[in-house]
Amino acid sequence: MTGEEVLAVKGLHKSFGATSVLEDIDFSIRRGETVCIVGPSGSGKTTLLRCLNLLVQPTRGQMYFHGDLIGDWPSSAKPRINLTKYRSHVSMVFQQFELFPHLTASDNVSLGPRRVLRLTKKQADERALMLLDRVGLKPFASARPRTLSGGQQQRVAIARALAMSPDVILFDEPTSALDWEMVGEVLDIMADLALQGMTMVVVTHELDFARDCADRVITMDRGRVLEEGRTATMFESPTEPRTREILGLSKAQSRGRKRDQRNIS
Amino acid sequence: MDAVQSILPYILPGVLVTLEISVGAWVVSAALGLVLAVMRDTRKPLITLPASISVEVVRAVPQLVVLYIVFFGLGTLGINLDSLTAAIVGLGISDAVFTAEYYRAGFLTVAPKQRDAGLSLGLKPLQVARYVIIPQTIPFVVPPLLNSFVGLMKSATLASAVGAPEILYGGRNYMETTGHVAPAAVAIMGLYIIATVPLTRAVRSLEKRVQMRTRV
Repeated sequence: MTGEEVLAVKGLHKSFGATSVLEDIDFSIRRGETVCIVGPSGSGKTTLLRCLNLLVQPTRGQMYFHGDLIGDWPSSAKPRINLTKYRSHVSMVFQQFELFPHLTASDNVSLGPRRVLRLTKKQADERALMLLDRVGLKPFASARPRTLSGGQQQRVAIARALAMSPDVILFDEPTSALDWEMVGEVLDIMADLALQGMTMVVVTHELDFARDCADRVITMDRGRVLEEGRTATMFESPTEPRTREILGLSKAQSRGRKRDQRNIS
Repeated sequence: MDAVQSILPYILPGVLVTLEISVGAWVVSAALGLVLAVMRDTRKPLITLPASISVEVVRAVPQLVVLYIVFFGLGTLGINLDSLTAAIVGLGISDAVFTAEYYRAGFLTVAPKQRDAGLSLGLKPLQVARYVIIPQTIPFVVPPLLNSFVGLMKSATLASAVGAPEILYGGRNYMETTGHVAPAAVAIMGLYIIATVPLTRAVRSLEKRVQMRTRV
């Protein structure tokens, strides 16, 4: 079940110089929802997430957080909200993990709670251990990121995002940098989070994950939202031909898959 | 041997002063360089511009001239520094513009996404610098910083120009008193070799260790 609207953007544009990257994006997510954003490389998915986290400022459009207008570009050059406070509510998981290499797994997770949420070291360490346990990495609490596998690093990154007790987590292609053997361990944790009602925006190419875990799916291409809808509807009867291609439903792709399956068997 | 014995009372007291100037200027340089590098890294024109202008201006001016400005120039404005403090401040400022570049190069070794990861946690930009960026630059910045200390030990001889009683100042007193120039120069050279060669070797070995660590 989903609740009140957590995050929304209306008429969002983003351009870098003369290059328009996002055009007229309307998007919202409700509490407890998992929304998957799917689209080819260069379609603006990552830029949309970076706008949602305010790591980059939109060029035009409005952004709402829990129903409050927090930015109206270009009239407000700066967001109308304390940026650091906002970001602590909107965590982000990156494609390349971006763990801090000089810190242990535990310190990576406890840094935010200590320095942003102002927890004591003991409280932050306890929270870090609890979350590392939740992602199955408690025995690696004192390991440095470089000694962990890609999948383990991404699980630590998820624990780091969870440590802020965020209202929503933005996942930017969390499995794209992983070998296929490691994809499952990360997706399992994300599926658990979805089941537990965590609000998540997931940019992904993992269509099975989108089909199984998302409440809604959004397809994007060339900086625009092509189509959005309930997951079952999107996979069963999308209206846009391009959505069929992106979701791997076109006849040509189906033929290709069948050929691959024959070759494998 | 007699010559050495007669020189030492002139230059040995200067050893301590040279060390005071080197260490003091190094601390000023390391701290001010870090401030300048962080300012230039903020990407906010109001903050980066003063830092960039200061770096460009000071880098264009010889160390001795900076020293004169700090000692004599500030004096005309009513800020009178003793020669030792002026030497520490002047050499520290001169060196800081280069130290800032070491830090900046160190910052460039840190992937830009690391900054995003810090910001996305809700850390403030200065906290990102303090807890995310700077600790990662330390292995890259420490060797050039130690090299800069060696350089400052040698530059400390400039402090004799404003009357700081460091090694060269003592040596010059000996030369003027006795008229013997060569023994004093050789003795000063010997002292510097004893002090700087082991330091330089230590820095080189540290650099190698950093290279080995970062190669993995």
